[in-house]
Amino acid sequence: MVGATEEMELQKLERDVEGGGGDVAQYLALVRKLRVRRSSTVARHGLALLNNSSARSKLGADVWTIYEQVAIAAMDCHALEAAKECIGALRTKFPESMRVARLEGMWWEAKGAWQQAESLYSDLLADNPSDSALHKRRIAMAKAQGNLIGAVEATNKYLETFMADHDAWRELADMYILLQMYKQAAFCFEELILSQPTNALYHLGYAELLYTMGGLDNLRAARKYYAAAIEMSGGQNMRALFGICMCGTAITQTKGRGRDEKDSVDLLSLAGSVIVKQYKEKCPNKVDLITSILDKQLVANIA
Amino acid sequence: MVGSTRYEIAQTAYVKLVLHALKHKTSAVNGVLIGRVSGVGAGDSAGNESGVGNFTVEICNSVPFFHSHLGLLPMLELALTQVDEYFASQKGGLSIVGYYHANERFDDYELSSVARKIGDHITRSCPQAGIFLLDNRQLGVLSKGATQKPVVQLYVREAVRGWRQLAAGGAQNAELVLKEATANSILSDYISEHREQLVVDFDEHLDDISKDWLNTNLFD
Repeated sequence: MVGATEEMELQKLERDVEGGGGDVAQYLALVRKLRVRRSSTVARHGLALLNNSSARSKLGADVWTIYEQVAIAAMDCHALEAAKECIGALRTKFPESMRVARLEGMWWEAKGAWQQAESLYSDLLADNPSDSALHKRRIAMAKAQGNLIGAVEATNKYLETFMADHDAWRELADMYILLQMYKQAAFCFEELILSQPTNALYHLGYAELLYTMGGLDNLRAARKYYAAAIEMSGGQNMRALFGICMCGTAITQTKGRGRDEKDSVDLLSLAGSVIVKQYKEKCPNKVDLITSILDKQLVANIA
Repeated sequence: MVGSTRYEIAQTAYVKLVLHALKHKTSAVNGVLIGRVSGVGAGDSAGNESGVGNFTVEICNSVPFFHSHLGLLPMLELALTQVDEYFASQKGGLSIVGYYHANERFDDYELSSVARKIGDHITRSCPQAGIFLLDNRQLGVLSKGATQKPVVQLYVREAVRGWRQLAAGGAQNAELVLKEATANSILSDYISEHREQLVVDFDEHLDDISKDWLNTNLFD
């Protein structure tokens, strides 16, 4: 996840580069650091940079990292010839490299030549069984071919060895949600929250999943996780604030009449007032709309 | 009982939804279609509920919703509530009359269960609602030259067989037309200008509420 200041810096550099000026190498470095996906811009300007021999010579040792970055961006934009050239340059410089071989595997993937890619990765894994990136290419291939079950199996196997890979757990949760295997997705979130208990986004993700699963217990739990996310994000996270309101309504609807346990409306009205305050400040033309919706929700809860 | 429904989509709605998909090339996207339904249902005098009859679904706008976590409920319900409430408060008798979806993968032409579920939900308040699935093949054709065919596939809900694609061998009792003949050429122009970068969806609004999901400036 990218913070607000970094996002602004990225956008400024991107504007400069797109406008024809700007420091392309600096932009590429920031994209690498933040691990964002800006393939179109990276490919276009990265290739221009690499094809300009005087600019290229100023890059020093970074040039090889940039060749790799541009190759991947080009493949993402399906500019396969350009990608091949970059990989070729890397291959010439590093003839025995497994890292370059991995790029060649990705090239086969981009072409849709799954067999070639798979046999290349198998060979590489035989020599490098602990290379996590190779395992992940296999998972990516399964996903790209629409084999979500296969991707899930491969990810589970991967996590047996690389159990501290939070991104993989997060990805697995998403895949389970796509398959509507909510309990399994919940397990992934529980692992994430156990290992990173102060990460607001995991609490938020878990809350959204619990809400989707439905039922009184899950909705009440969702509300708790939304509340935790609000606390951890200093009351700034709009999804968590709205989530509290949605939970309130859903809980009332699920309970129906004859409820035995009274659910407090304090949290609901507090969240509501924070939301309205934010809208007044940043989105005044929707304040009436939001107030109307929140009022209806509050009334439904008290009634 | 056989009726027929004509779906007419205005270029505002059409261009916006395609640009939304193009802005987020690497993920699935979705949103709703706004408009009005007119026409006569068969058996109206008896209190028509089957939705069978001759209808025109006029789609004049679209609201882009999400480009991540399409299968999760809370923010979807919030978005539907806000959109419902907004258009109800405006003059013009507009409401949600359809749903659009673009799959994550280029060669995936299946209507996913997420899309079907959301479509089902919308048909509860608008029985003639259609699902519009982005057709990547057609979009590819568009980039190579002019075509009058819309780059979306229409799915309609039939009573027994559920969601069926409007195609030979599929649903027969519906037609999809682009309201303006200029729709595809405007779309092509906007794509070459990279206007998709200007599209704001509900996801982005939630991350920064100063961004407006109404996209009022998109067609300036």
